[in-house]
Amino acid sequence: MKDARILVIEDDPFMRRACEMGLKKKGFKVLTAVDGEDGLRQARAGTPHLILLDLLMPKLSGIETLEALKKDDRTRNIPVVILSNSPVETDMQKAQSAGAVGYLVKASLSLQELSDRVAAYLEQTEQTESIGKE
Amino acid sequence: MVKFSRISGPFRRWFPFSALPEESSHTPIPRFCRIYCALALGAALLILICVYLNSWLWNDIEFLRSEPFRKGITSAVPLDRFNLILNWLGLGMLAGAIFYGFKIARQANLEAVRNTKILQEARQRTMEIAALYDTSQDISAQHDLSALLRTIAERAKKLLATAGCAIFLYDPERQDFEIMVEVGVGMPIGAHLSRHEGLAGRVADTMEYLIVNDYATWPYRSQVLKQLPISAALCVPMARGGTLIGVLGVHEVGGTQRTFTEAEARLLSLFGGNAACAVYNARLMEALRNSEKRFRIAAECASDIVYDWNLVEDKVKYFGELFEKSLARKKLAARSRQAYWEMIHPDDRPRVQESLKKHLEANADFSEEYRISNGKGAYVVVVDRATAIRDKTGRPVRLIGAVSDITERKHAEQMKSDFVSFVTHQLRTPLSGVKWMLELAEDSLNNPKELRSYIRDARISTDRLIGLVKDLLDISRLERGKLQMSCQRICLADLTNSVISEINPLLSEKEQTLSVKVGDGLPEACADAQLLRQLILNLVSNAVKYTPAKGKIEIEITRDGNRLRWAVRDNGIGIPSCDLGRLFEKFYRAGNVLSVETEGTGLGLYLSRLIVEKFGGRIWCDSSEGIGSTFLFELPLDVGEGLNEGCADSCN
Repeated sequence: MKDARILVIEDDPFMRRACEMGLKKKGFKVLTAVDGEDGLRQARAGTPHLILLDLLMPKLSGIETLEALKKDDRTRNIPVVILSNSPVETDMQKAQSAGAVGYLVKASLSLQELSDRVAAYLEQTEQTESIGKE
Repeated sequence: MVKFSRISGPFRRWFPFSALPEESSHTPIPRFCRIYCALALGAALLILICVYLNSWLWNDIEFLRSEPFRKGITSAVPLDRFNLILNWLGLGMLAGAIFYGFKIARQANLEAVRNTKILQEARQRTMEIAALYDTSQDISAQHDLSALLRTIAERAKKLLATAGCAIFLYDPERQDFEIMVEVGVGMPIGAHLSRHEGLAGRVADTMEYLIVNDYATWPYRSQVLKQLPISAALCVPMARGGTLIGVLGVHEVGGTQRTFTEAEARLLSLFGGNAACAVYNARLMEALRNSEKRFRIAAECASDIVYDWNLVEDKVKYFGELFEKSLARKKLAARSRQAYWEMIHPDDRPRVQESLKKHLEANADFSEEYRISNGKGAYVVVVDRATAIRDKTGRPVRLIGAVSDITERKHAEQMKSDFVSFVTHQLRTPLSGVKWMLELAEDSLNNPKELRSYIRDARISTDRLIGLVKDLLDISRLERGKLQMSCQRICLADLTNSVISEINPLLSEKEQTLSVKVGDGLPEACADAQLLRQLILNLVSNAVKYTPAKGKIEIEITRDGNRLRWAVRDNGIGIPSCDLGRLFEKFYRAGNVLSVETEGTGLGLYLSRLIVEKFGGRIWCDSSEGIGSTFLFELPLDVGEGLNEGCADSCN
């Protein structure tokens, strides 16, 4: 899905820029948000096909943002993939129970791998949707 | 003589035979004495009558010899016949009386002898019973084992009237006997006999009494006792419930020949049983005392509180220094467990009670960590481990446990986990940054501008990483006291200005103003230049970071007695009052900083504090949220104020 819109919610500017440029180079359209609030706003307005969400953010934490996204009808169905640096089990569990479809650890991925995983998640969602429609 | 005793008082007193029977302490005269008395009386009476009637008999002795008398007894005059009958009757009775008299005397004699014997035996028994009773009284009253054994030995010796008595105590571990107590003979106290040796050995083998009436020729004599002039010996086992505790023996010495009897052996066996009880009880008491002592020592040495909770009566006893010193002693002195429950943090209480219930019912392990009030308004974290003691039916009757203060440990654990999360996030983020930037750079070789930007970003991330690692190392070295300082004289104002020029780009970017005010005639500080620079840089960059654009920052350097004071004031976001106390802790970040930046590590102020303290000074902060903060530190000017001696030497 080459013209899929990906929303990257990441507070660290370097991380944000790297994700943005990396995904853009692979052909995705990328929206960026600097924190949770900004992310929610953009998710409602821009209807991305996938959201990449960082966990450790100021003001509104990743989990809180995720919960807010899932509560809102407009954004509930957008698949959210956590992009974090914490390999801690409890964080993974929290994310999963809050409704994330995936959990990626930044430090163990190259940008290529990142975009591959994003593509995979998009495909998965597409399939689920088409099944749902049938 | 019962009938006679019914005779009235005065008559009894002079009537010769009635005085004798039950009042006499000697020999009770047998019943057929009455017959004897009756006969004697009758005879006497008849004789009297005959004498009266036959006063002429003496004159007629010849008549008796004459023929007509011999022939004509039957034809004699009725009066004479009557007389004769009476005479013969009288004589017959007399003979009978005499005969019976002898019989009675003999009988009485035998009875007397027998009764003496019975009385003697009764007396002997009474003595023995008294001795045994006294011994058992001693056993219950006295718990000093050696004194007790000594008393038993002396009693046994007295009772059996022997020259000596000894008690051998058996040690099942060493398999030998030790002579514990000895009276009368001079046996070597403390000497040892092996399990099968000598008198004790034989008794132990058979678990029965042993009589040796000729000790000198007895083949199994032990070496230890061979020297002693024992002539005869009687030994009995001291056993309790089938287990051998020792051997009790009495003996005669020298030339005294004695044959111990079975009766004596049985008596001594009773003594032996008593002695065994005595030893057993005394050992139990000692073991109990030792156990209590150990418990007390353990409770007092440990910095724990040890408790003993009687579940049946709901009464608790606490031991240990910790209890004496803290944890609301008065409250707990109420003795009921309820007071303790109430001291536990309400959030933890249900979990602890549930866990205890499980332990008491199903015997699951009980080991719980919980918060408990320290009586001064704060909570400490403790770990509580306990075991229930149950009765025969399995019902728990006592709970014995120990409570340890683990606040320190928990704190350390928290620090460790803080460190791990710190490393996870703070170090990995720039690392991922570098990695991805370089990956992007690889893909942009054809676009120099883009390429340059990626490389630049990578470099910045790397710098950040390097800074972080350096901070961590410094902290580690300062904490362990391994940082080497090279002190010199430094002008604080100059150093401050140098730092300001370094951060100038950031200042102008945020359009902030920074002014420096220096007091007159300030002396130079004595410190390590690099560390001091780091300190000042940290405080100034904090001021810049946490002050919004167009903010104002002021630095003031003054002298306060024998100290130099350096202060930086800003009108930034300030610090919430609840965070002020913990601001200088490792990894601590105030609650309101995340809104400004997520790059802070919580290490800056901690490191600053370590540096200032290394210099012998102090650092603190005044702040109001939303208005601004002032950070101040003081440096001592001489050793008296706290300046490090080595440092002072370098400066001079």
